[in-house]
Amino acid sequence: MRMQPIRIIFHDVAAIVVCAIFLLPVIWAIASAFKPSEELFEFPPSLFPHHPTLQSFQNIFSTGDVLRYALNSFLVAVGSSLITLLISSMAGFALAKYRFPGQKILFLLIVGMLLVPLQVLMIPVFLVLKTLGWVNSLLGIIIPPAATPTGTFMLRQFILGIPDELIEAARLDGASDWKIYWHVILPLSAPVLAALGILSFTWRWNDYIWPLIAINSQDRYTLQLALANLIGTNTVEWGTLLAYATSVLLPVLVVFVIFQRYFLKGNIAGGVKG
Amino acid sequence: MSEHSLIVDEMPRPDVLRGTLKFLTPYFFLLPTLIIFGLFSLFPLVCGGFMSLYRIDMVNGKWLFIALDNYSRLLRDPVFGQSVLNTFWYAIAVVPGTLIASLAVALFLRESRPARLVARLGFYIPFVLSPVVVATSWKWLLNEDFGVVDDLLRVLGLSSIPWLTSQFPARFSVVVTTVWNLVGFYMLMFLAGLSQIRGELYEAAKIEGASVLQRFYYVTLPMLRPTILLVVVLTTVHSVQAFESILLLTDGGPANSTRLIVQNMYDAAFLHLNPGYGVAQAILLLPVILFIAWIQMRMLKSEGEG
Amino acid sequence: MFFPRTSFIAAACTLFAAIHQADGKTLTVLLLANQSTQKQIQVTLQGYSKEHPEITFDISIVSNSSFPAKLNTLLASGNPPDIVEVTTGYIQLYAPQALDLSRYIDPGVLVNRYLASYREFIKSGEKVIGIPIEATANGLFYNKDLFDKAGVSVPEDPDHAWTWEQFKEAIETVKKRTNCRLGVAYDRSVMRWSNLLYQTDGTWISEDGKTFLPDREATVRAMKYFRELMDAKLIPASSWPGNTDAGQLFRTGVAAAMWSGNWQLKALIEKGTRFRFGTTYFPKDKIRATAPGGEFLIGMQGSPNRDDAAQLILWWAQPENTKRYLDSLGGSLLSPMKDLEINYGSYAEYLKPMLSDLLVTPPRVAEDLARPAMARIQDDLINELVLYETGNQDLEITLRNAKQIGQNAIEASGNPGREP
Repeated sequence: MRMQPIRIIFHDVAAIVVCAIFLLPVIWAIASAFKPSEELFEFPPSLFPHHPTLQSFQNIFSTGDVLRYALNSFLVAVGSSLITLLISSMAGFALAKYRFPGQKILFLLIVGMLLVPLQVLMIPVFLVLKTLGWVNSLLGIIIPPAATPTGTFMLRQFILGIPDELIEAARLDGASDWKIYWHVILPLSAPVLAALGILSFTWRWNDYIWPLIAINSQDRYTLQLALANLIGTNTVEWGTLLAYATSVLLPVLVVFVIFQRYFLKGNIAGGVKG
Repeated sequence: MSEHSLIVDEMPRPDVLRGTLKFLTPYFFLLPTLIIFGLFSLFPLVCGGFMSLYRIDMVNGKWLFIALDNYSRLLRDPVFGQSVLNTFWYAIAVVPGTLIASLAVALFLRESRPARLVARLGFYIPFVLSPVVVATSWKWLLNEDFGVVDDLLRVLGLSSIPWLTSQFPARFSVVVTTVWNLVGFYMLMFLAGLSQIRGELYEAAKIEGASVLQRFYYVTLPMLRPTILLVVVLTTVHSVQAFESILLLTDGGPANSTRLIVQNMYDAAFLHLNPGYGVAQAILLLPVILFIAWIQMRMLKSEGEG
Repeated sequence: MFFPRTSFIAAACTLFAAIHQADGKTLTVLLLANQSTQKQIQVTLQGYSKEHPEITFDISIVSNSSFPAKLNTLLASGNPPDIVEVTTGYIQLYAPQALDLSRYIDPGVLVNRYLASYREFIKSGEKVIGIPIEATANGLFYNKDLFDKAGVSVPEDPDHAWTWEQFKEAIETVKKRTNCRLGVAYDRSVMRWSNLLYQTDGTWISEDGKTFLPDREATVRAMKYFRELMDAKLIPASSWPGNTDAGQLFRTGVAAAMWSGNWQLKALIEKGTRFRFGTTYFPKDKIRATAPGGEFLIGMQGSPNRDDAAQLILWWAQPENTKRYLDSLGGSLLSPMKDLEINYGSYAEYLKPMLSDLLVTPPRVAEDLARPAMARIQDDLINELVLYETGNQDLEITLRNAKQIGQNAIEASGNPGREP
């Protein structure tokens, strides 16, 4: 029984309206990025600028070598995400489809590490980075966060749902474990890999603590570090900050738009529980 | 063809080399994760464990061994206790709140029509905002002297609510801000989970005369069980780790009512310059939280895994 | 899938290698994020590099809230930066690890270049631990349009500075007659509140450094006065107990006054406001006082380049170089050095009352603020104050808690007394 067309249109409109209300704080932040500074905190507060200007956006470039920060952020986000996808799927495969001693404990341990906040362990972590020679190097913010327990968790849960018959079929064809991983497990995991990819990119793009610990030189800064520095000791450059934050937001949204269709189609054909 | 199957109920057969290799296979797959994890999470945690046995004067670089003194102090520390309680209430509000909100939004935006796809993007945006922006924009909206929300209340003839400066409203605001932040991502999780439910199941239910609600309860929910587990565990983890945007929003106030455990750890390490005390908190809480995570997994996994 | 990953790691490594410098000496500098000053500091350092081409600087900028985390991590792991910028709140905390400049120059000569208040911050026993590069003072701003509309006048000279009672009346009158929403936008920090304590001629810590809140009467006076302001709704809830920056509140144009400091001037003047504003003298109780603040440069004993760092710091301490830096700021920040002719430009008229307040403030105020114990208790202390001032806690309990917090900090700081 199909819904009446009117109902569908109404549903569409409702979706947009609810979404707009939901986004009110964001709309305020983005609109404020276009306000000239006197308007920024005036009273009565207005949502949209009376005299829109790109001044705040222009100011971004005078805060430092923004293009370099952007490049660094990209290298880190993409590099780390690729590593995450690889090693999380490997680990998830091992935890889901093998039985071996220490399996449960290992899994619990990995997930448990999520619960210890990085802030508290800054000093020992820095010492490890120092020993590896990764202080002030982008490697120090690409590699360590790549082993994200959430990733392992997500992949394990998903791979658990892959029917064993598929794996045994590949076995019967004489495939090695690695081939099974590469040709059976990975393709089937596309939806969750896309989700993890989006998530990982977002996390690494927005990472603040890692770069704070590991990076000293300004030319290795990521956008988030530079953004945080707009919160000055006594005063805050709100206009520039909002413009900056708005701009920093965009690549993540682009990644989302690109990858969401892999993620949402799922792979219903045969491989997955449902 | 009794080839060594991946799923074995007993240990691998003892063909020496082959057996060893097969035995090692899962560890091989786990290796990269384990190495990084070992170096950057486990080892620092162990170091932290040692640190928690000392009173450390960071400025002078002096370490004084005090054994379990930090822990006994913690058990008597009212601020620590308060922060644990606050985190508990926070998690209890955020986990179901996010679960229900994101499931509702996912169901609402289930069809892939253009308007709904745009709305999905919209709901996702708050998730990727940096905590600074989240806190700033909400702080401005909830400002009781001239924030939009209170202005609206005044226009309606109601009195303004001190959203950020009074205990209960502050807690409410902090939860709302968090759920607002998280909905977008978990909506995606549910959308993926929903997309994997075969249409035939709904058809079958309809033929049996099931109503919309019954279809939801008997088809959708059970099929979503793995996703629900994922969402519950991840949001619990998030609740436990919550720190930055709350710090900027209420600074743990008023009167420590929105102070969560991570803020407490951070303050111990970097404000009071006593990192041993900070790590002790993490170590003390770790088993508790692991236990909760384990329970969650048991409760939600029993039927979800074949 | 391997290919893109490998190439990215390769790219990262190349980036790292490409940036690595090999010749000359590089001094690592840790600066506070501050849009008003960070550029000028870097420019000044570049000026030094021009004169001394073998020295280059690797500059890190960290926001204030992350500063303790970053600096302490570096120190605890044996990687101290060569030069660090610190505020008045923190400088004495690092006194034991700071580089002693008296090994490179006659301490008397160096210290006496600076205003009396600032000498206290840079002395630690026999050591001279750093130099001030800029000075701030807390001060009172007011909305001229609102005051004019209400027909209330502000003190024109220090002899006519308001008393506490008069200040309260002035704000009340302006608020009542103009119906403006906010009274005094007041930063929620220990330092800003301290002005009241000093104006009653009290201090946080006793002269011998051993007792916290030694003068009960003065403390109670200050606490009660602030409470009066709160009860009369003259202080907006979003600053106490909320934490909104006073500058933000003042710029809405609906606040009668702002109790903050001269650093707000840059934004107010450069970005402009929709209303006219001015500055005036702090109200006085027993004495006139304002809390001095500022930024300092210190070196670190543990750094391998400490001799070069010392040279840089002493170069900056030469009057012409200090002046050049302050001039480059356009005059928005004050000079911590005596007898330095800074061109304050358009800021001059606004700075006048604050400078005047600063000059009459007794040096023991600076000494008090400089004590390491003060750096440790900011958060806890403000929590207690907020509880009392918002009417959520009894006076006696607050006093008791505050004293406890303070005493604990004094003990933890380990150096209860300061050698004369």
